Amino acid sequence: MLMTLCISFHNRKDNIMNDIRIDGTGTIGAGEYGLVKVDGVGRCKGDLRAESVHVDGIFRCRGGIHTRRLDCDGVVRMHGPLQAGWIGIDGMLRVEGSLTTEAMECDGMLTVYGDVKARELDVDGLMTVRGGTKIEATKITCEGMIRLNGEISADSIEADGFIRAKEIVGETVRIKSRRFGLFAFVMRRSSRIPLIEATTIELQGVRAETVNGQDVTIGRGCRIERLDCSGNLRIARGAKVKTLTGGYTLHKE
Amino acid sequence: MSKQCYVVHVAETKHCSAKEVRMEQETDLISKKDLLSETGISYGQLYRWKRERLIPEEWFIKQASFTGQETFFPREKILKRVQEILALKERHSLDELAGMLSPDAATSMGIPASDDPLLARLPALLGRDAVSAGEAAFTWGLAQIGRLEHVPQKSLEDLVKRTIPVLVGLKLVDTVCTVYRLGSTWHAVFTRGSTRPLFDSGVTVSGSFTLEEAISDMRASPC
Repeated sequence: MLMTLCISFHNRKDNIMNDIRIDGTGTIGAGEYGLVKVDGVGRCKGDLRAESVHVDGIFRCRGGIHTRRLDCDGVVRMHGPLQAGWIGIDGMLRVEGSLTTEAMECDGMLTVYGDVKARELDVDGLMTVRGGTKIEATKITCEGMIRLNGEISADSIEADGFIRAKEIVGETVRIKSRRFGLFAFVMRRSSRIPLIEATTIELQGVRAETVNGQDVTIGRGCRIERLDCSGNLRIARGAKVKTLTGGYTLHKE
Repeated sequence: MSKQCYVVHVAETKHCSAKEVRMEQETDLISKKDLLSETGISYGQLYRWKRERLIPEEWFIKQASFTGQETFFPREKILKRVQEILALKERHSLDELAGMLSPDAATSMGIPASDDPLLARLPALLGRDAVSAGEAAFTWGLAQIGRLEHVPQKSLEDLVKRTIPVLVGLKLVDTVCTVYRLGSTWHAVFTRGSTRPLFDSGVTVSGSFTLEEAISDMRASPC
């Protein structure tokens, strides 16, 4: 099989760091770079520090990646933590370490084997956290699916997709799970969360064991075992709540 | 000149987990629901402060209850911490508050002006001006014990020098330092949780302190 190697270096005038472009097959050493662009099959032997990383092909990094911007339109696998200012995923990204970012848009598939810390997370694809126990963010929006065996904590969580987690906690939690797209074939209808705890909670199509909040709206398709509400409470007709406690004020839907 | 051998012990008690011991000893707990109603804070604030490390994760103690699982906190510590945050949050950002209230052992910080000779000598002993919270907390706690037990200044300085490398990576929360004397040499041992090390009769325990308490006392002391 013919393998092509095409790695180009551009030494930018304003910056001594080299740009790397891998169009065929190539391996780069650990170190600092400017732009790293992989259109073919690339490897990095250790920790990579770069201004930006753009992968349209396949890229495997033997260490962690520290960059301002990571565009993953192909397949990226890294054996260490990922620290990035912005992350865009249209392909597949696998991080075998923790993930820290200012903002992330995941339209593809992301698997993280560690904790996730972010300012903003937008998940329209599939995000799975395997090794880690928590996702911490200021704002999370999800029209796809988030799965983890631990806690999601954020000021604002808005989900039209599905969330599977042990706990969701924060200031505002709005989950309206509905059947749509590819997930309708592979997933069951509702989000399942043992504990939801927030100041304001709005749920639809959610199965939860315990829901604790100040202002709570339980929409249709919800199955809640225990609900504790200390403020305004709304329960839709199609919802089931087994045990209800707290000094709530019930409003008619 | 006889060769002296100095040992700094870092021990982790293995009979039972730190969490089990802590739960046995900290019987004065407050439930999450009671905490919110007593202090008037919301779930959102509580979890934001947890994310910002203003409230240590170790204080969230999960226990089985008839409703499944409930979270409790050490009453005195959490009430004090919430009052501190509420009092300070108007004047400081959450990041600043995190540095002030829950510093990592590695967090860089200043040492308050003090008459204590050990604290005054700390930058010289370290060979640098930047002092981490762990180093400051240990030196502060050791200085208090040194005063009470009349430990010679030279012995304290030797102990600081030997202990500094061990402090790297230690958490301030839940780390207890026990200072003891073996013959004519003082040593320090660090443990996690409420478990205290047990020594044979040839060892004299001079005192113990948590790194977290030491840093709080240091901050509260008049400059």
